Amino acid sequence: MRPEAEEEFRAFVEARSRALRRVGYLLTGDLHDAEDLVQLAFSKTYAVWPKLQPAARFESYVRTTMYRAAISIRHRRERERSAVQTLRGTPPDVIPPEFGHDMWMRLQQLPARQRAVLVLRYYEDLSIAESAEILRCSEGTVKSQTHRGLEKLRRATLEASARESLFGDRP
Amino acid sequence: MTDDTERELRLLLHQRAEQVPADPEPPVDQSLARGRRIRTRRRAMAAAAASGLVAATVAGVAVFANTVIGEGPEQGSSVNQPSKPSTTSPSTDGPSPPSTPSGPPNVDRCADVPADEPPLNHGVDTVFNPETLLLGIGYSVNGENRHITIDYANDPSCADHARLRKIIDGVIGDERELDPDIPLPPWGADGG
Repeated sequence: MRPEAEEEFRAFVEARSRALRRVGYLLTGDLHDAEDLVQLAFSKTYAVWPKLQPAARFESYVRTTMYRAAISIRHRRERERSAVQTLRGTPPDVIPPEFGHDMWMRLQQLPARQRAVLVLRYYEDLSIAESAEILRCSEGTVKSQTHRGLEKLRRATLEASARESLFGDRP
Repeated sequence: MTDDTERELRLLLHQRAEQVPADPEPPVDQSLARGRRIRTRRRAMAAAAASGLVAATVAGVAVFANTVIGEGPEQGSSVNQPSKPSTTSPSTDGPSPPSTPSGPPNVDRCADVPADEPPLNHGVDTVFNPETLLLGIGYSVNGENRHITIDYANDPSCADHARLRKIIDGVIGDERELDPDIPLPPWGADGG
């Protein structure tokens, strides 16, 4: 890679790391997995960096890579994590519990694609068409996944409220 | 139409994202080097566990410590504490419970080692505790029992928990994927 392109890539990484780590955290639910996801996306982006001109495509490419990777690796990660948690217990949530702990835990239970759709629509504020392009699926799929994801969250919230009112305990 | 769940979700996602710390990313080359060190450790620990009670010479112990745990002074030597008499030596009476070469290492044995376990009489034994991230290595030099404890939690070469957890993940479930190209330390059949 040309030195100017190297420098450009370095500046991009420095400028965008934190924002991408935030997205990674929302997608994976784990700060360390988020870092891995960002590193993976950067490494893939680096490989095609010279072909990504103009600069407006940098962000789009790395973000798309992150979302697709989050969906494809989540299943494997869950298997690994399940084995570890069996032996070590569930790791503590690193973010203070006042930040919507219950809803956050429900979000973790959603399938990777539904979760990705919800992050795209409600964190990134992307349109259905933009979300579909990133996830490489149809707009109808984005709509249905959004609906199903929200429905599961709603149902879980209702069940938790009912349980709390009946038994006086939290889920 | 936006309902309560959507509003709550939107708020939650933004609040959570704001809480992500601004830690700098490690340089890519360091990450790669660290990954190799971890794989070496994983292989070493899996092999040590598979062999159970490893009879080794003092030289073998030195090689073991330097190769597997020390990894050079700038990477991990600070975790090598000076040898001292064992107070919580791992079990040495007879071979370890049978384990296949590709099976999980003896992480479960930690719970089986009583606190008053007598010190080692010979050979080398290792016990890795995934809860405390301590790797205990007991061995004997001229009849004197010694015990080294490697504290992975304070190992500066793999201090962040992501890497630590990968060590644990690897130890527990990933041994079959260990890179066969990484040479094993020279202990084992002819080690003692």
